[in-house]
Formats: sequence, C-alpha cells, structure tokens
Amino acid sequence: MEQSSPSDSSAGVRLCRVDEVDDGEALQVLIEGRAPFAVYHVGGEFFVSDDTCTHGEASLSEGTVDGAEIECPWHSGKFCLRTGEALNFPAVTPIRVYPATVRDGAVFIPSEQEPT
Amino acid sequence: MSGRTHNIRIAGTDVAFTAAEGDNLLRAGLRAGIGLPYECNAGGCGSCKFELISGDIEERWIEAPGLTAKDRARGRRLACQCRPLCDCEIRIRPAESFLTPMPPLVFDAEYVGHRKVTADMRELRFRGPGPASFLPGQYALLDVPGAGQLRAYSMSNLPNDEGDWDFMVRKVPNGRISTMLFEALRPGDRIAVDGPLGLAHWRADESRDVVCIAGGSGMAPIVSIANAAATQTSSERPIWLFYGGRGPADLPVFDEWLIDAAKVQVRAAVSAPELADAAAWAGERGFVHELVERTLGGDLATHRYYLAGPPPMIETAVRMLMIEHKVPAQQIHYDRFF
Repeated sequence: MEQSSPSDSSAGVRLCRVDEVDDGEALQVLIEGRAPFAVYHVGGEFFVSDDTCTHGEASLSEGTVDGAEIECPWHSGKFCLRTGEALNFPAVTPIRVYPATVRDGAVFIPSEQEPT
Repeated sequence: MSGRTHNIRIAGTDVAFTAAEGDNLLRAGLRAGIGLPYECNAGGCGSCKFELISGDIEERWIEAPGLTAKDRARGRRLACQCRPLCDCEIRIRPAESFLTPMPPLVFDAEYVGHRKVTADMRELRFRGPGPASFLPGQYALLDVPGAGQLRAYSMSNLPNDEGDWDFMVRKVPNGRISTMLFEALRPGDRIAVDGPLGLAHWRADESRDVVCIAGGSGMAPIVSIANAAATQTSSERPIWLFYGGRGPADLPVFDEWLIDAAKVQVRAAVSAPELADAAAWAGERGFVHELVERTLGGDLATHRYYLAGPPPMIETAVRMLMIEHKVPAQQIHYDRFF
C-alpha cells in the first residue's frame, strides 16, 4: 500500500513510483480525499482504476492481473483495464479507469477528472 | 475424523486455525470463526481460491469448474475441495463478511419423510440431533450415499427447536442423486449434513421492500426468506415473491408453503409457450425478470432482492437490476453456484 498526498494539480496526481509495482502485479494507492486507487503494471504499461470492485467490497489490487485484465480476488469477476468494462459475471457494472502517464519514474493520473 | 488436528496458518497475517483430521479446509476455517471467502462450497464459483505455501493437501475434485487452466497453472486450488494432510500455510484473504452467526457443523440427520412441491420437486425433511439453527436463505451440504460429492441444498423451512432441516429437491431424469433421494431413501435412513452455510440469507433489520425471485428448486431458500419476512418483522413493507417456471406444472401451490400468505404478493410466469398453450394457461407469460420489471415499475433501486434458481435466471435478473435499474450490489443477494 502506498500513501500519497494530493500533489500540485497542474502536474496531475502522483500515485506511486513505477518500481513499486512489479510487472504483472497491482498496488493499492491511498490519496487523501479520494476513493482508493489500484495501479497495475502490464509489461511496461501502467493502468489505474478504482480499487474497490463494483460487485462486492473486494480490493482489486489484491486480484490477479492477466494481460490488460484484472480478476477480482473474491468472486472472479473480471474487468478490462483499458476501458473498465465488466467482462464476466458476477462483475456487471464497469469499474472506473483513469488515463495513466509515466513521468520521472512515477505514475500519474489527471488531477481532476469528472465522473464519466 | 480422528482426534488429530492440523494447524493452518494464513500467510502474511497472524491468523491461524485448527483443522480436524479429514475435515475440509474451507469449512474447518469457517468452523473456527475465520471468514475464508466462499459462496457455493461446491467447486463452482471460484470464490475460495487459495495458494498452498507449505504443507500437503488432498484435492477432491481436480477438474472443478471454479478453477481456470490459468488458476491451476498459478498453483491455485479451491479450499472447498481440499483437505489438509498436515500443518499448512496458505495464502487467502479472509474477511468478517464471510461469517454468519452459526458456524457450520457436521451432524447426522435422520430422513423423516417428504411432501410434494410440484410434479418433479419434493421437499425432504431430515431431523438433526439438536435445534436447527440457521438463517433463512442458507444451505447445507448433504453427503448423499453414492454421490461422490457433497451436494448443496437450501433449507425451505425456518430455524426451529425440533431440529428439522427441510430441503427441496428436483428430480432430474436419470439423475443419480435425485433418484437416490426420491426412490432409495427410506424414513429412518441417516445421512451426514454439514451446515449452515451461505451468505444470501435474510437480512432481519429490513427497512426496504423485500423482493424474492426464484425458479426451480430456488423455491426452497426463497420460501424460507418470504416466511421470515412475513413472520419475523413488524414491518408493513411489501413482500414480493416472483417465480418462474417453464410450464404451469412447474409452479408450486404457493399458499401451501407460505405461513402468512396474505402478507406475500405472489406472481408467477411460465416461459415455454407450448406448455402454457397445452394447459390453457391464463396467467403471466415470459421470463421472471420481465415479470419483476413489469409488476414493480417505479424505482427498483430502493428494494432489497433475494434470488435463487437456475444460473441463467439469476444472471439475467441481476444484470437487469444492476445495469438497467442501478440497484446497488449490496441490495442483491444470491449464492452463486456457477
């Protein structure tokens, strides 16, 4: 688990260093005032979503990264990390995903994103 | 089971529990008050996946559908299908939400007799040694002789001091288990029961309209929940019971099963037009989720839902509720046996 403070809004929100998430793994990141995020590392590419599964209360960062998909650790529901789409039952409603960028060895998302 | 025990440690935590020799890994944890994740106890849902870090286990059903080939390649197994053979360390994520007030117990129950529910469904009564303590909507595992696997059946009655555990069983043509339960079982026969289990139970602190949706032998937990809702609260909130069958012959006579039928609004639909026509069925037609939507109207997101029945029925109804009507997942209860 990574704890960060809200950063300068012009630079986006810094979530974690890239070397904190091994390839094929995920990390929960807590930012003050925000719902928990999950950062995923897939073969050099980074993805970010809300950490809490839309089906139950499980933490997706504790699930299994399978290519650009995350499987919830409790009920085996899968989500697409690119679109947030729920891919199989019991996952039904999409997970919110964020565009991730890597800069200076860290993963960022835009500082303010209106709910889609 | 002998007096030997195995110590099971959960990696990365200070949680450990004791499993009796021969006991199942998942249920040994639940018996010890450790909330190991699960839903079906039958190898189907995949919720109880774990990794064995050290020790040795016996896996009862290697090909269980709850595991994908990738899961197996990653060394994952299903706790509901494993028994520890020695002290073990496992990786799994327990949570309080997987515990219910009565931990499951293994006990011998005596077959008492049956009542007819429909042409192909019966309610079987078993009597256990003590009070029957469970939450309406829960299930138990029956060790049916010759089945090779434990079978999960939901209780159709309410908890009681007499020790009665009632289950509804549908007869499957040439089905080994249902043939055994329908034809070979004699009053006085004893079978082993492990329960109660299951998380799709009646929530007693109810402030919402209760909507029960069932098909097939999903009648059992749903009638238990509807009866609990009608008799165990003073709430005047509506209680709905929706039931779907293929044809009119699949529909139980609900008044025979509801303790306070005046409090429960029952709606049933049949989905096979040829069966409806043949029986000159004048009632509702179509799938049960359509009937729910058509009947309730208004804001479906304010109610609480309990579902039990065939997997396609549950999946279709849950998708409709969550996607089209934005019902929060926390207000939808079913045990996923798939």
